[in-house]
Amino acid sequence: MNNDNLHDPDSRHDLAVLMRQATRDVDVPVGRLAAGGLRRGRIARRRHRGGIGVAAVAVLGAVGLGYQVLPHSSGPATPSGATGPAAQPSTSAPAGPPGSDRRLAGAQAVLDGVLAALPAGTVTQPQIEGLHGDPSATGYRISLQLRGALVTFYVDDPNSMRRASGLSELGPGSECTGSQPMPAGCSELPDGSWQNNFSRRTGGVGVPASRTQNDAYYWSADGWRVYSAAYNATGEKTGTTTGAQPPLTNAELAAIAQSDVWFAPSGD
Amino acid sequence: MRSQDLAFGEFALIRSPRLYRSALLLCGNEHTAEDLVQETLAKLYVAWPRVNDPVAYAHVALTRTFLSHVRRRSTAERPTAVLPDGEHLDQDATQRTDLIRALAELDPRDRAVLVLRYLEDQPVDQVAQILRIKPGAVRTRTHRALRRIRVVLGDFDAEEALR
Repeated sequence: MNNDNLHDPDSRHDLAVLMRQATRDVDVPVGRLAAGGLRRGRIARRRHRGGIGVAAVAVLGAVGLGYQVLPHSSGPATPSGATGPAAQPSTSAPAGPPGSDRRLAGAQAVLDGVLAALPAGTVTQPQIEGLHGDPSATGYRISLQLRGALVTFYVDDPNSMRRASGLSELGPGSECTGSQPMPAGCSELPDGSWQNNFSRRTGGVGVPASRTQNDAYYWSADGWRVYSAAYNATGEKTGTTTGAQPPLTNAELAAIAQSDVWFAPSGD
Repeated sequence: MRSQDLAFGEFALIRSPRLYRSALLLCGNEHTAEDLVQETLAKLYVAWPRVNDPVAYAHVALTRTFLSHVRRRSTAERPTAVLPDGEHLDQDATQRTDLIRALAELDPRDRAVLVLRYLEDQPVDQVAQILRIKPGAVRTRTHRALRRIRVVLGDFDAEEALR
């Protein structure tokens, strides 16, 4: 067995590095995996319910993107181990929508920009991570505690994974105008971008829907998406309630979402 | 129902690469890995309304589904990397082939321990919970598996991995 590659002096020679190196260039059939999981899941659910027959298989391309932008671990201060070291943010600016001349800033710059844009209040546990560590997923997730309550931001190119998996791309506002409209409706802004700001009562496993969550979605005209949420609790579906209202209003969330804190300065 | 499909589809698109890489090291070949990930996602879909942490759920389901399949098979299936004959293999592909061959020498549960601990960076207690064994057993299996890996891979620095 040729083990020369296992002794690359640049590696730490540990198994974690070896495993990540050995699997980093694997061709992942993302579209088949997701579509197959969805199809088999629907069949399994029908069986669980005693249904018969198998309905037509829906391809994932028809699914579109939901208003739950990205699933994530609940609660604040998600340990890095929850998503693995590969999810650590890159210091370099990732690529973005082909039609955009803006690129995301580096992770630290984005985090600093968001912190500076927050209104007054004690901030603890600020964290930023790459979206699930996948090279074809372009974006960041930020979580922090503002005055003791959870606030999260996502910025991403919503079509990056779709391009990687060969799915058709979605245009700005398509999540507002599609067959599954966003809650509370969306509005188009004069520059061609879209926004949707609303509040909802939320709960969780073992937690009744007794909490308030403020959401602000923004789809820029050049293809970026920002989702932000503020909770009146220490966690999204866990933790304790911190007050009557989340620490940021919809308008405050929207102002940050629609700002330029996400992007590298022109010319960088 | 439809909104669940939207959210699930988004999750599946984004998370499946990580699941697939774990599955590949567990199963040793692309076809079984794809099947394992799809079955894992199907289980997640069924459980989606009551799942609080889909990332954690998916990795638990992946590992347990893999071990369940192994137990059901009476034939001692050996994972083998699929190698394109006559083609040049780059460094990552060569590493992957060597690693999969080495992992194939391990008991499937030991293999799962290594994948969870070193690819997924899960702490011992979490691995114990996923595999439904005691933390001490995880440590024992880790040491045993690393020793075996070192034998198979030559002078691979398993001691570094034990730190």
